[in-house]
Amino acid sequence: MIIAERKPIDEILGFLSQHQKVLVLGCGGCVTVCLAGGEKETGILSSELAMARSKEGRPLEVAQKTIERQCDFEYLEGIRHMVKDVDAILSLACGIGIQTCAEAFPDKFVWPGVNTKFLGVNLNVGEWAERCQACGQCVLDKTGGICPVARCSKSIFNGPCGGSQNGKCEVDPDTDCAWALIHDRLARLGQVESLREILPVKDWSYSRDGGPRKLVREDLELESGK
Amino acid sequence: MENNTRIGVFFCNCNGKITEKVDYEEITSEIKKLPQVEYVRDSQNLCAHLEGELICKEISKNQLNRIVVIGCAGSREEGFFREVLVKAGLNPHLLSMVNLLGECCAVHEKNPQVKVKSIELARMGVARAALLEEVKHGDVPVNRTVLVIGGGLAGMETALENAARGFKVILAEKEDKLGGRLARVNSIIGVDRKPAELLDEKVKAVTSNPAIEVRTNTRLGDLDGNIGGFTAWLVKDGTETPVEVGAIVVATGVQTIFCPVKYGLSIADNVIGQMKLERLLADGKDFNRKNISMIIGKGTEAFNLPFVIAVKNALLLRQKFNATVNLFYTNIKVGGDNWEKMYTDARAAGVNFFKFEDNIEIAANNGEIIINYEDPFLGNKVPGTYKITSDYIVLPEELVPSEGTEELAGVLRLELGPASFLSIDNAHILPEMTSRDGIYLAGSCQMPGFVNEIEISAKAVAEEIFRKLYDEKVSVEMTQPYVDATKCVVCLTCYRCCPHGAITIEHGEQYENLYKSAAVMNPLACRKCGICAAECPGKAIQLPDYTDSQILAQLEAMEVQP
Amino acid sequence: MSTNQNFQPKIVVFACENSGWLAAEHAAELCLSYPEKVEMIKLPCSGKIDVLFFMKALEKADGTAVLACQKENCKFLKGNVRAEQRVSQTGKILKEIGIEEERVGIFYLAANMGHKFTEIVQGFYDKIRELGPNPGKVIK
Repeated sequence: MIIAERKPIDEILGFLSQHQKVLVLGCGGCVTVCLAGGEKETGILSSELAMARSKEGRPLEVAQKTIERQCDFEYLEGIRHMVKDVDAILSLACGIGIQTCAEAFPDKFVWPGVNTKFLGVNLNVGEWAERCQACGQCVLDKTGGICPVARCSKSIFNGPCGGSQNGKCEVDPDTDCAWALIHDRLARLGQVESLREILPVKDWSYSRDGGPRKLVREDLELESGK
Repeated sequence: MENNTRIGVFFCNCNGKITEKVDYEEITSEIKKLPQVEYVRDSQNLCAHLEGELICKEISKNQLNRIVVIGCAGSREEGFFREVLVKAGLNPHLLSMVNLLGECCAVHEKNPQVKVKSIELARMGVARAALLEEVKHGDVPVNRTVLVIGGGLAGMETALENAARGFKVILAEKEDKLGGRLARVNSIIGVDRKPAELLDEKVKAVTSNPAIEVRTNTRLGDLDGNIGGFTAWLVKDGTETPVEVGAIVVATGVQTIFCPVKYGLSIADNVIGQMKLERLLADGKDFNRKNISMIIGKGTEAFNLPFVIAVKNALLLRQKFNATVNLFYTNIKVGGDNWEKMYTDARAAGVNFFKFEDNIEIAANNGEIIINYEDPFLGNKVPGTYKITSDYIVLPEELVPSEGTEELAGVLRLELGPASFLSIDNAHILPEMTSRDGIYLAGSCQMPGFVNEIEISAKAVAEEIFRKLYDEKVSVEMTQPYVDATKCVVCLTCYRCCPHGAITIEHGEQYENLYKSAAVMNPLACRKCGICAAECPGKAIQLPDYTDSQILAQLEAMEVQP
Repeated sequence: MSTNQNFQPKIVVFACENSGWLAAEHAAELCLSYPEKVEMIKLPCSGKIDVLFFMKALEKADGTAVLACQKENCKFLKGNVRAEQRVSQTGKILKEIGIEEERVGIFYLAANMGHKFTEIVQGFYDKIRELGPNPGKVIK
């Protein structure tokens, strides 16, 4: 799941300073699950913005709406009539949703309301941790289901490094050493010998180093296009 | 909101107590301006019996379907007006009460602000009324099998009590036979029976009862579901088998740990714990004219049990064997039925009670126990260390929850309380209840207890289970929160936050969202606190009578002044 | 801090029906007086309080508070703990837009504490009065 966190209010107020009427747009996908931009957060932020602007003596009219997902054009289509009436949209979706929204409404200002942080797991109510970097070529088969790319601070492929201390990482003592976890899990599965295999240098061209990525599956595509 | 909402407002003077401070006409003229208000009426005393009938008639005549009562809002009055609504054929939840007496007239002097407040309170009540929703009753099918975990005295007693109320019982015992710890004890406080006899009788009663199925060498491995519909995974010899049960009783008891090191001693024939002493007494060991010292203190003071056992055994050794018994104590806790008497009896029988605070030294030399201690009472007159020599030293054991209690708590989704025993629900409710309905505690698993309390505890548990699962189908008012599946993103926030484990994620075509799933609150397990509704990031959860729109409408009805 | 001596703040009090709400009833039985501009909304548990309720209240009022059961004595075990967290969440939000975080509060009491209820309400009222009008009120 994509994990996001609401942006500092000053930043948001800065974006909206020129507007009189905005639509705070929540998303019912990942940002609802990670408690950053669902209907509840949309309501709270709307109220906060109205109060902040009231205090400045420049009232802001705030409309609010939360749609199923902002990363699908069809869902955005459904709010076209609402968008017409506002000066700008403050999107609480992840970076993907914000961009889709901007693409769907080319004549409107679309401002980001959250910082998209990482792809991660929900450990507890209010606690999230990174698990994947979408590097494009999964190695979890070789590393006991623990990702060295996302969970090792150095993303090294034949760890641990010298900074691994009592199962913790030298970069941050609260972070588990991914390679210690990999070793322990493989040992538990009786596969620790497999660590003798030296993993080759990773081909980062599948990741961001190859430029923006795109996935096309001709076997699934509709003839008419989007 | 329905278009045909017709609100009726009934204003009570409360025999003049209300109109003494506020003006009826002023309030009603404001209320009449509000949309959907079709009927306004006042009365001297709205909760009088005849008034109820009149309200009924007015409701029918004017086709009212939301009722606002402006007057007081006590629970007695609320019950009265809900009944009136039912008599008039309306759902009792379509009632909004405005506490004009309690929030305004009784606490303020007559002044212009009181007028403003009274009108505002009335407007808030009407705004809420417009958004009230019906709450229906539902029939919930329930399983009437009870799983009892632990085959000690408490478990057996609970099994028998439940069987007597028509339940099927599965009694799971982790050892290879029933009986638990009582088999190791010589005598029981407050029960005039030999433990072995009592146990035999209970084991026979349990094993001969056709409603009780005993499963030995069995423990609980996993648990799904809620009251009336648990699936319990029972583990025997490494294999898990599911059983469907409606309620679970934990009777896993307590265990003792003998720790002489704490007193600077090591294990020896004459250094024993109270449990070992019980065992020796039951086996018929002779303590004739021996000198025996006992200690109570150093961290065993959390419960009454160690005190009472020590006094019991001291008295027994004194009376039966004419032994010299020295009881060293830091504190004596004997608050309970007849225990105080047992304590005075022990003193009268010549048991020596010696008070110490910190300074006590015990040494075991060639079969002789030497105790040096400082007495805080005598010390004022004759300072110095006192020395006592004994044949035996009896130490209190540590009382801890039986092995595996923590894992069991995890499986049951219960919290551990003081000293890591299973935590009971808060003091407002029965001491046998846990934070989850359908899961109960009997015997010592919540706190080391006494045999003579077990019967009461077992009965209370069985009654509580019967109250909830009185038939194959039970009727409940569906006041638990409901979920708008189109907004539910099955994020698990509510599931994780529910203090009563009452929420499950259900799957099915009826849930109209991407996941074909939604959180569902169990009507029997839910206690209607609304925590889940407040946590829900998608605003998918609403608690009947306290929906977001009802609460926000009250805020909306307030005047804002710069 | 307030320049206007005649300023009378408006307070919205959310009350748990197991404690604060009953304490208010108790205060009424004892005819204990408190400022008029304090209005109450009943909740089934302080854990039902929502940051949004506080925010909406502060769009109209000068201060808002939730009345919860005594610590460790919530009928629903965690309700008052969650309520406390939501109060601090709201406080943070207020602070970041330059509004005094003291405008939101939580108070613990039991059902039979009528005197404590008026004491709490009066104390909170006085504190808000000192702070002056809420600058964030939204007037439509």
